[in-house]
Amino acid sequence: MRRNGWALVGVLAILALAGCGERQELETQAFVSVIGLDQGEQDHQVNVTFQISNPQVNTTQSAEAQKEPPSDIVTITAVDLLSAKELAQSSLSREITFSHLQTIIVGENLAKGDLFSHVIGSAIVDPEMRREAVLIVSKEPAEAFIHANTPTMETRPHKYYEFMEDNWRKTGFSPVSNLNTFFQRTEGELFLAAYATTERDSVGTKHDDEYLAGEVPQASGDPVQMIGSAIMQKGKMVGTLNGEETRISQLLRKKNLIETMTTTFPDPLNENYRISLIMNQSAHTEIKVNTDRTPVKIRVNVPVQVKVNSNIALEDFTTSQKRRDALKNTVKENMEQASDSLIKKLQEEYTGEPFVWYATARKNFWTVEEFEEFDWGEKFKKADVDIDYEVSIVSFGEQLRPPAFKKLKEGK
Amino acid sequence: MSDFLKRLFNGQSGQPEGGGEQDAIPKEPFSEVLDVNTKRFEDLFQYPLNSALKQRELQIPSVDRRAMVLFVDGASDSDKIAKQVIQPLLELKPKPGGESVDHLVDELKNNVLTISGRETIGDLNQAVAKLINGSAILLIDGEKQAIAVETAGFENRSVAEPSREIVIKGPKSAFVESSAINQSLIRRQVKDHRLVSETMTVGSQSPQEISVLYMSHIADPQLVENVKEKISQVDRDAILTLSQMEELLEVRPYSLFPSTMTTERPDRAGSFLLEGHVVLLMDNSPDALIAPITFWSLYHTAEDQFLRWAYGNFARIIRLCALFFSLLMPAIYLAVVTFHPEMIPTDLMLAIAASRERVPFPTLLELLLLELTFEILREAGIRVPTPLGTTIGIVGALILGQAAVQANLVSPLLVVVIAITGLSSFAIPDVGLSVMTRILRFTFVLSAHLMGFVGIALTFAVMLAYATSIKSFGVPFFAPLAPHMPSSRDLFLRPIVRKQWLRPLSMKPRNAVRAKPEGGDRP
Amino acid sequence: MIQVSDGKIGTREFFSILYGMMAIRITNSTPNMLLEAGLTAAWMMPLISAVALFVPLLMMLSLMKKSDADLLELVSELTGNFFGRLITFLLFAAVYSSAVLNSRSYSDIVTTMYYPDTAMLMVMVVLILGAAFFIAHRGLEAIGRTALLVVPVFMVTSMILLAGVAGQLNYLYLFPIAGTGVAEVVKGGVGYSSFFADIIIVGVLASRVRTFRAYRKASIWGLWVPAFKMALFLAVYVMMFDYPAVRNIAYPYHHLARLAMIGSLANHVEAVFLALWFIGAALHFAIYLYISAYLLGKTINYPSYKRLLFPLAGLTVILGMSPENHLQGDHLRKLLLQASSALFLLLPVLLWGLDRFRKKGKR
Repeated sequence: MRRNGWALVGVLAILALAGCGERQELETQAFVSVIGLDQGEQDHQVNVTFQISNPQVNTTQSAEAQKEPPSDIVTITAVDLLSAKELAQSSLSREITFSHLQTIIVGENLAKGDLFSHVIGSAIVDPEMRREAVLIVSKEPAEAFIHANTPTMETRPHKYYEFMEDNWRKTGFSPVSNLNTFFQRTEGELFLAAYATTERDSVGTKHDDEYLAGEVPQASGDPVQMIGSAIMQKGKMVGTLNGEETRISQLLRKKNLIETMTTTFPDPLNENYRISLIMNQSAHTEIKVNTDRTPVKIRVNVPVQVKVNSNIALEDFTTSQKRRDALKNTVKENMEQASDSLIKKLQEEYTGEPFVWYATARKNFWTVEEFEEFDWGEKFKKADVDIDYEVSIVSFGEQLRPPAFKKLKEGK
Repeated sequence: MSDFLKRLFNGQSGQPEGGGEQDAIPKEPFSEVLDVNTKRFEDLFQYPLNSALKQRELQIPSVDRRAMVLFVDGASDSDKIAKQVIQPLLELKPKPGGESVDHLVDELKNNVLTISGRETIGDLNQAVAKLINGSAILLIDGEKQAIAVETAGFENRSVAEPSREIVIKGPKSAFVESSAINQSLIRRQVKDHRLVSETMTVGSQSPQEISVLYMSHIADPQLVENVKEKISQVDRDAILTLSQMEELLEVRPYSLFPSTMTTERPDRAGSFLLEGHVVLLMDNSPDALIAPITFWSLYHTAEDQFLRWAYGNFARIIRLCALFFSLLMPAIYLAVVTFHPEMIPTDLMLAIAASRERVPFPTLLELLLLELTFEILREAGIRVPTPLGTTIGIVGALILGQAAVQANLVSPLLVVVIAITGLSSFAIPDVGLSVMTRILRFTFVLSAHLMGFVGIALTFAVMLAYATSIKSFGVPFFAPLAPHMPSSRDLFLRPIVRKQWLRPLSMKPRNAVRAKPEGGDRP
Repeated sequence: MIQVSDGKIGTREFFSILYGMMAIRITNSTPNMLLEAGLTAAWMMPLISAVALFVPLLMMLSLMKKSDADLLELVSELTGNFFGRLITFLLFAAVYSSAVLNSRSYSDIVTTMYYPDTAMLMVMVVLILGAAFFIAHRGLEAIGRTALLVVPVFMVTSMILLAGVAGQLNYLYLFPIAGTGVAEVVKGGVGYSSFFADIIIVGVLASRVRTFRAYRKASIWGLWVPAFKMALFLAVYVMMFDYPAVRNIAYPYHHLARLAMIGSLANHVEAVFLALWFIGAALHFAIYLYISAYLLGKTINYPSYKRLLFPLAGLTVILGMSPENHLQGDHLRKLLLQASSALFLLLPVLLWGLDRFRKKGKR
């Protein structure tokens, strides 16, 4: 018994002797919520912008500091993220930590260069870097973007990006993807990152979702627009997709990450108007890849559900099966057309696809080696893609038929 | 264990046959002369200095002999002695058949005294033991034997409601200071002829009787032996209460983990008996001492079984949470704040960081300060008179906490953490378990301070290994969960009563179990 | 029902010990070795290993049943005193060196993934000399019971972990189904079968288990459950990170824990998994230390083997600190695994053969 007691004391003593360099009080750390990466002036140099949350603003009443800004933004030029982090310490009193880092913003300039894959590839080696961080490509330099991004509602930056990223699941304007997905697609498959800007680039009005960030006609409000996506291949940005194409690319995946999206189609009954529909998916998209023949044959079957919650032409769809079929057909045709043109664009301009179809194709191979020899990217370029939408209309909103203004007019 | 076996085989089992210290009372037979006997008693009780010993001399008319009734004032019921001892003796008519002088003592014992408890005794030693336990001694001139009559009449309070283990639903009686009444309370719960009540004596100078109760068909005989062995090893002059006994019975008095517990509820004692535990009762103690206990005995309350299945289990889940909160909450807070800030949601993290900016102490110090204050508050709450108790609570909890936050001594979230921890420790049913968690909490705080979650994990592993390795009278602390044994499965949660059937050991013959152990798994 | 314990361990405790020894391997660099060898088919390799070991296990069980002896008794009875000692020593060497290399590997994980500013020595000392030594010192019964208490928690939490990442998994990443090719996968599976060789090693503890039936049941479950868990996790790693990337990730379990989201609120819960994992690690090393001490005690004929625990634990720390970085350790580990695979696969076969031979000789 005595000996056991001593053993216990020994363990406690060992524990007590052990110190740990890790311990750090919260107030001595600077929590970075956003990192911006830009091409430096010299080659192989990056400008790293840290946006650090200020705990004394808008967090708790008892420690509110009225006149301080909600975040501190520091830009450092260095060879990589880690050294920038250290250099930033020369001006910052608190120790920088990435433990609450959620968002990485990359300037388009850097993203299009070769350096980016090196910067991000070496950053992930740092255990502090989290693979669930979201990658956003900004049209302007990330530094300018971060400085310009001053949302009215969300004073604290992390909250803004958190809500914005939640939004994507409901609108589909931007792809839902994080660093983990980025590192999954390093072998030539396309990776879509959200595309954002604070600049305005007026191109006139288009059909609702065919905009790219900066093009959405908007007056006043917050400066940032996030719509469309940047296409990355092998860690390098190679192009952009607009809102519509981004949405379709999500629909064509086997596992759609987007809950619902609202989009418009020409009204089949009244060509002066367009009709807004809420679209969602009740079942997974079916993908069949036949790799035995050349060109490769890909069949995609996309089941979509449509809700008619607005009907600007005030046409009555509920009374006639024919009219409903017409609506179905319009949706089907439009979607298929849009999808075909997206596929065509991808096949012509890039070697690869962002729909994770390569994973389905892998099913047809026995070993990894065989698949690697097959060279999916090149095969996709020439593939014969057949996309088929299965539309079902599940709801016509809360009214049985649209209000009868028109009939009254005709009656008079 | 081996020590015990040695003793067993040497034949020294169970009862001590009059400890060495009892030499003060000569173990000699009575004399035939009444006056000599009386004188001896007077000397032993220091008569007339000590007025405790009362004597009543009388002449038994039928046989025309002098007799003496001796009893200790206050220990025996004088009414009973007058009515059931003296009166029958005086009214005894001479038998028509003739003399029966040969067996006068037996005759008196069997046919004259109307009281039920009586016994023939032959020596002084026995007589004194009987006297101090409230019996009256009848000495007859010319006889070498005396009769001890059970006339114990200690003052007792009536059976009252329990004060510590309060239940909303269920029986409302609690043990009192009389062992006899307590036994009857238990027998009322457990109506089984196999409920054995063995009596042992402890204390060499002022011997006290201790009753060992167990179910002979359920309790592991090895366990009963272990307990009795332990009791017989107790070597003290006087043991007044069970609480004293408790520490003497424990194998590890320094350990934080209790190995016995007391209950004041007869129904609880009864259910322990039915689970195979041994229950010890002693005069003067309004408790029953449950001899081997496991973690479950500490974790369960009487009410769990009285409430419906879902309600009882809900309470248990809450209690389990409380146990973990009470043990780990401050440590986890410390580890999270100083080692793993990524675990806190960003908003909350920023809020803590903001409030900590103005607190001059490191989190550990802040935490210890508040924790210590809370412990002082709790101790003070027990000591102050009841009317002030609530005031102390309000002053302590509300005003002190608020003021400490405003004075930037502690951060507001920490007050919340400590408050939850404190509340949780009150939700733990057993005092022993509660105090244990309160002490262990500081160990966890220290280890969290040193190594964060790794420290907590290792301390927890060590604590668990210690807890599982200790045994109370040979029964592992976490039995029957670890090691797994057949049981009624009344562990973290309880099954419905219909499924809580017991498997008495008689199902597998005990001897066979000893000789060739079963797989020990499935029933 | 309250019962005095008989000092033996039952089926569940023994199963938990086996689980604690083997299932924790999904968290260290073991998956990396398997993934490198099998790519998308890595998940099959644990199952192949288990099949490869199942035959020797059955042989050992049948021998044990027949002669009612534990592994060491069998060895010394069938091979004679000298060879018996030698084999015991080889077993000790395999177990102990595995403990040494793993202890380094675990400390490496802590210092790379969680506590980069902490001295490795500190973690080693606290883990091995502190917790593992203490647990081992409390004896096999305590180890078994502690394992029985924590193993269900590990099982539940690993399910929670899987549920936490389920939304991010894509089963299509498991294709091409044969990975590096059938021959490669089978070869790798058999070659790495010593990941489960603990099932043979624990034969030395057979006499501490209550009955032979309990031993048999526990060891059969104890082989398959960890094998399935490992297969499941390997599949999840591939489904989570996809195959070219999964090869680059040093400790996939810990990355998985980082990416897990329990609901939408708690999405940075890796520290909780770190704590649970470290309890498991302490237990794992406690068992290894205990068996090492036991085997060493048998080799040098020193019955109070518990006294060897402290020197062995101390030596573990010293030896574990000697490789420069974890890559060296991993290399040694690979060598050890391949060497000991043969030992553990062949030992029961050898014993079985000797037994047969003897029987014939007697006839």
